[in-house]
Amino acid sequence: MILAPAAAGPLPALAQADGALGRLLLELGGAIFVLALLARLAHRAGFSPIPLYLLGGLAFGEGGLLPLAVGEQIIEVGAEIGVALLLLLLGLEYTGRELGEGLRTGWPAGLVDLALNFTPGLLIGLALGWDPVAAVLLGGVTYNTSSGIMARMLAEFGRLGNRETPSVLMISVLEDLTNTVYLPLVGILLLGVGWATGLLSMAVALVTVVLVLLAAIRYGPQLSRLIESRSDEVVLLTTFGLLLVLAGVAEQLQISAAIAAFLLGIALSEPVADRARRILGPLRDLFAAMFFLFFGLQTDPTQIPPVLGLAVGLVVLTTLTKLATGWYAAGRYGVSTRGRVRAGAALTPRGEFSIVIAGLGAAAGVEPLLGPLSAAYVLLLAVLAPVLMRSANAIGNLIEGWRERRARVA
Amino acid sequence: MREIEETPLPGVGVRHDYTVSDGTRVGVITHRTGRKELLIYDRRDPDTCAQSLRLDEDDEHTLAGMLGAETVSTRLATLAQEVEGLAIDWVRVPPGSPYEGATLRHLAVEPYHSAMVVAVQRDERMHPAPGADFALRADDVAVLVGTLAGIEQLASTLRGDA
Repeated sequence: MILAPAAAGPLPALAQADGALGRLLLELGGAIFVLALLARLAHRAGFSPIPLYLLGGLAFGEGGLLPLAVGEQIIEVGAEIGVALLLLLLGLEYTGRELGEGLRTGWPAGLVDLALNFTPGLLIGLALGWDPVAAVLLGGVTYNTSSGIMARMLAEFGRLGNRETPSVLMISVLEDLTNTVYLPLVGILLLGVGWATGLLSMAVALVTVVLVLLAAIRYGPQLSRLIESRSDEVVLLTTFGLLLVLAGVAEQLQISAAIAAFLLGIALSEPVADRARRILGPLRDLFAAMFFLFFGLQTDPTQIPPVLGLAVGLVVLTTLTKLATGWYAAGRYGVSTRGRVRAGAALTPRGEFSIVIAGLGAAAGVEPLLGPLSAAYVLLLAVLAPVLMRSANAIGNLIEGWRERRARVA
Repeated sequence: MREIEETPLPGVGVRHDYTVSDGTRVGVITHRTGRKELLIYDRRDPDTCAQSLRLDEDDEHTLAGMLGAETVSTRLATLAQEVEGLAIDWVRVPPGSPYEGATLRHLAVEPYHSAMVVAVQRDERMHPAPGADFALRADDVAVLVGTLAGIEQLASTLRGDA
């Protein structure tokens, strides 16, 4: 569809047009080189490249510093594949056992996380007079901790072994579970049907999800056996093909490809899940980078300054709520003050999921401010989260000192 | 053995830790990729890692070797790679094997001069260089070293399919 002008002929006319193929390759190569540069920079500085990809997109897009006539069409195709791969691997991130265990032991923390972090986005969206669907999307943007950025920070700060870490990871597992329901729900809402039909289709969607999950638990091993092969090549092609077919079917049904990809990831089980993670990882890195770049390109940077104040407010509010979530979650594991602050700090970054959700909204055109606001929000948190991580122990000491003083006075 | 605590780390792997006799807590994270991370906890704040070391496979073996762990088999594997013409294999003694209950001396009288049992793993424990009086049991894993042909012959004898 994206190559519409070329689709008239039996073959895409790209190769026939004089030098068009060369230009396309040059543009694509150029874009990937820019991404490589940004990734290198991020790697050297020791933080996630996602915010840099976004910044790159903003800078090179329309209204940016250096508007490039990049082959946006091909990047768009790449971005679509990127979303599917991103969500597939997010779905694969936790094994079925980990999801079940998380639900069994961590649900109170999961509920607190949902109540504290989804609500601010939702309410602020509604207060801005946005469409309720856009408000639900903003709720999703503020709710989801970036498991990728979080894991990177925990490793970077040498905190993977700390006692608060299991509670932090548990929150991430539960967010994954919530998204199995949230994403299809959003898909239905974005179809833009009325509330009555909406509720009905929502019920249908929930039943579908439950069925998919049950089928995944029941038939996941069989599905995985179908995919399993001794050759990495076979596993790669089978999984990638299955992913694209499912994503295509979902798009035909006007449900986002992202949702189908995520559910596929949940459905795949060990040992295929393990191999798919390893084999598709590099492919995901490539296409997901294109997705973040594309999101930046699509977002008009001149739209950001007007929403900056709002973004700062949202950052402050939802940083406090994530800190509270971490405080509660780590407290359940008997962790002391400083560890509880560290847990909260690790939960503050938002990233891939938030951008995907904002991207769903942008694609459906529900609220023009959602894209720029989410971009600014993710970027600000990308800067703030490592600072919070670094100062978590100091903040913990302050709280402890304050408590001691109060205890002495009393 | 001290009591080892196991903590699953969803999406990362699993953490094992225990308290060393001097009171410091030490642990290892086994990442899902197989990579290991050595943890040494802060003595004053047991919630915190004072030091975490990322180990590659070589580091692991070196460290385990320095601690005298049961690395006989891996070292032998390296040895076999280094010495040309020397092969190594592992054979499980099945229940009902003709050599179940037999000592290694019994095995040595057989005409297998080109291969021998250099170690036996029993119930997760390695018995390196077992003596001639060492009696084999069912489900022991015998580590054989020798020429390729000799090992094959010895292995099929042990399995009882010769």
